Amino acid sequence: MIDSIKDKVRELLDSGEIKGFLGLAEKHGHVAPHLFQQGEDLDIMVLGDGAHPGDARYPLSKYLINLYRAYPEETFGILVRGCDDRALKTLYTWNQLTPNKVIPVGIACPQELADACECSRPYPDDITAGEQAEPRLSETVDTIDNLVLTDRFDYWMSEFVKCIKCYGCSNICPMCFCNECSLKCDDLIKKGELPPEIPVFHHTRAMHMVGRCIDCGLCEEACPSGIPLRTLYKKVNTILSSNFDFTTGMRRGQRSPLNSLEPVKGNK
Amino acid sequence: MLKFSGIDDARLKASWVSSAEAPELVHEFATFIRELRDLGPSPLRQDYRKELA
Repeated sequence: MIDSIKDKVRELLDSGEIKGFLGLAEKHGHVAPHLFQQGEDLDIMVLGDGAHPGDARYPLSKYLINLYRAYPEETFGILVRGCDDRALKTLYTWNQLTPNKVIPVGIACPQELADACECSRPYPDDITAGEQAEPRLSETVDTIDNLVLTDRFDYWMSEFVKCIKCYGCSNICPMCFCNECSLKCDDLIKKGELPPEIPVFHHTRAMHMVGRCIDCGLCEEACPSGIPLRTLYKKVNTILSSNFDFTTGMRRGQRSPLNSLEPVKGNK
Repeated sequence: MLKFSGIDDARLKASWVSSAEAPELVHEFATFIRELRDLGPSPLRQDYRKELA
């Protein structure tokens, strides 16, 4: 799998089509994001698979925003999974990246990872390596939906109370690109309180994920307290898809229904 | 989302009332207050932070 990625990247770099390739590299036993440049050895390139596939994932599309801001004229290649592909499409819509400056090199996630993520589309549009796995529906959301109201309340409050307000969830989120963040606004979230006011802190973030969350699950992976954030945002996405027939990042150029003044089809 | 988090969605109400419709506004408030009284105190009144310490 990695060989076909390396071949493609080498071809793109040698032809000068891209200035650099944003991927993952193993350095000193650790997997980290790396910008491969022309003439560079691709031997250290990895796909981030450890004991399980996709053990090391990074918000590469978020780093690409920084590259794009620093070098707006250059074209970069980027390693994408299904979620990264959705991230790119959404970032194009939000004008954070320009599609003609980005060349995605896609890998399809193996079934094991697709199952673990309950991913609705575990593969990008263009697949350079890997086989398309079967999409999965979210069972975690259903499990919580099936609890009685008071149990659901107790469940979430016992999770939210663990929050240490480290902002890890928004720091790693490829969709958190705002210059000013509501979660850092003193009038909304008081400074110096731990945990932050619950559930307001988490609900605020959940509301801001409407039309943005591409369900990569990095927030939950990053959370040191192990709050099931992905489930929370998966619910946001479920509401969007059932009420507005919209899935974030599925189609290029499609705007969030909440960002449109047009009457929305399928609105219930 | 409130329901998903275990908060009764009857605790949130949005109504559209024009500024020229004072009696309707009063009616909305009065009914909502009555509904909230019936629901009782919010589970959020409890200070969850204290339990942690």
